[in-house]
Amino acid sequence: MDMISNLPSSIVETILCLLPIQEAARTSILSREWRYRWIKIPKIAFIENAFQVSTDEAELSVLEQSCVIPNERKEINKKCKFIHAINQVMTMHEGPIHEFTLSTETDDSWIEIEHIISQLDINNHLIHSSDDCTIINLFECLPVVEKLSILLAIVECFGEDGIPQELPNALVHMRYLYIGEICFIHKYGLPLLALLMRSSPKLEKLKLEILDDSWVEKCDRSDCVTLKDYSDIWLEHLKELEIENMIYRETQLDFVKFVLAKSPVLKKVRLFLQEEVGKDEQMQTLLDSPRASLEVQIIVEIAEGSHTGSRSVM
Amino acid sequence: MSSSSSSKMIELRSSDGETFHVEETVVLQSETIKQMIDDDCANAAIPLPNVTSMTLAKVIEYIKKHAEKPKDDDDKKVAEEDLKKFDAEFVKVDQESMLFDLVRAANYLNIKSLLDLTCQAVADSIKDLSVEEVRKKFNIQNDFTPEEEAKVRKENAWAFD
Repeated sequence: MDMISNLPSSIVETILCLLPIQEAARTSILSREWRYRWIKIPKIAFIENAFQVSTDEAELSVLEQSCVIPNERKEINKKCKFIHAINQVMTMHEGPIHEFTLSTETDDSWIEIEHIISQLDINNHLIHSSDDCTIINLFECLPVVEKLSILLAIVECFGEDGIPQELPNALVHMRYLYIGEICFIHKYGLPLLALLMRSSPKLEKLKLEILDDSWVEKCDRSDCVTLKDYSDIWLEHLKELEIENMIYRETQLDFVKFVLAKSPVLKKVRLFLQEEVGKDEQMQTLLDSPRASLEVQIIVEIAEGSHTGSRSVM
Repeated sequence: MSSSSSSKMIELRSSDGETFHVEETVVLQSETIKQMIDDDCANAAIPLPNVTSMTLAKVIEYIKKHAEKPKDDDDKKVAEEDLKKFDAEFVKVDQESMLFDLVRAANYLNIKSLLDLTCQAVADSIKDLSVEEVRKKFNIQNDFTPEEEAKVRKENAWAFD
């Protein structure tokens, strides 16, 4: 009997989940017993940066044609392989997905994200609308997700109708949400967050990484959306908020205050500042703002250059 | 290593009959043993028929280290670093089979952090190996016919580039 097959199947599954998806899929060829083991893993991560690409350009000509922009062939090839891999994994995959990560390299072409999301649905047929895919469909593909991490040019991921108030089906299992590259002043920034907060009644940890917002075109900036519009939101189970790359803009501070006021069991708020732009008075406004929870610890860290200051306040 | 004389000692017996005395506070990291103690089944030596003395000694080394409490906040950072180093060294075992024995023991004793650590070590040891190397390493018999193997390879062609 070989050593690894001899392990309980739950352990083998754990080990498969710890491998990059490509490596996990390669275990299919080890033996008959292994052939379909990887397709049932409940944790899937598609990370474009970590994706290995060979120079073999065969097979993908059709996909390649469907990709936009004719130049930068190598990049496109990589992108196509990434989308092809998502297609292949989702075609084979069986069973629920509890943990899902999608991270693409930002180059603002919405078409490819649409493409990616349509691949995610390939086996599930959860997307009923005949319209184009939007980011909303991504959540429809993951009805039982508990831990979701998304890092993509998310602000571009909405169709003509903009962002709905709530998802058609709430993500009732979601406990952990990470959004990379969120931009508060973008017209879709806050509405997306609000949508997910409303639709995730069991959310326990929210982690955000703020994207530098100087690039946002004037026409894409939000002019009328304020947190007052979200007064219906209540974060019943939220225990932890973490924000990276914060620069203490008013909108960002307002968001933290909003969470403080709406989270009755909040325990910890961690803010990582880009540089020491946080003035004591701004910190003070955070400390003075109303809180729904009696025991919140606010930790502010400055993580830039050689000096790493840390300050924690009860 | 901190030890307090007032703590109750628990006796564990490995599959090959060796007994180990461990402080109750340390051994509580095992959910399985904690359950036994809660159910009042720990008055005599606790038999662990699935764990050999060699593996059990390693497990005890691990939970003892992880039971150390830092004195203050400054000490905490140092202790965290120290623990990381300890974990990294801990999974560098001479024999591959020892790692699997530890995975099994962590699973049976239900010590989550040890299970996470050892599973990650197994995953890391597979990464970047060829299919043939993985088979050899874990003594997996390839029972595919050449035709079947070609089919599986084609089925998952994207992963074998």
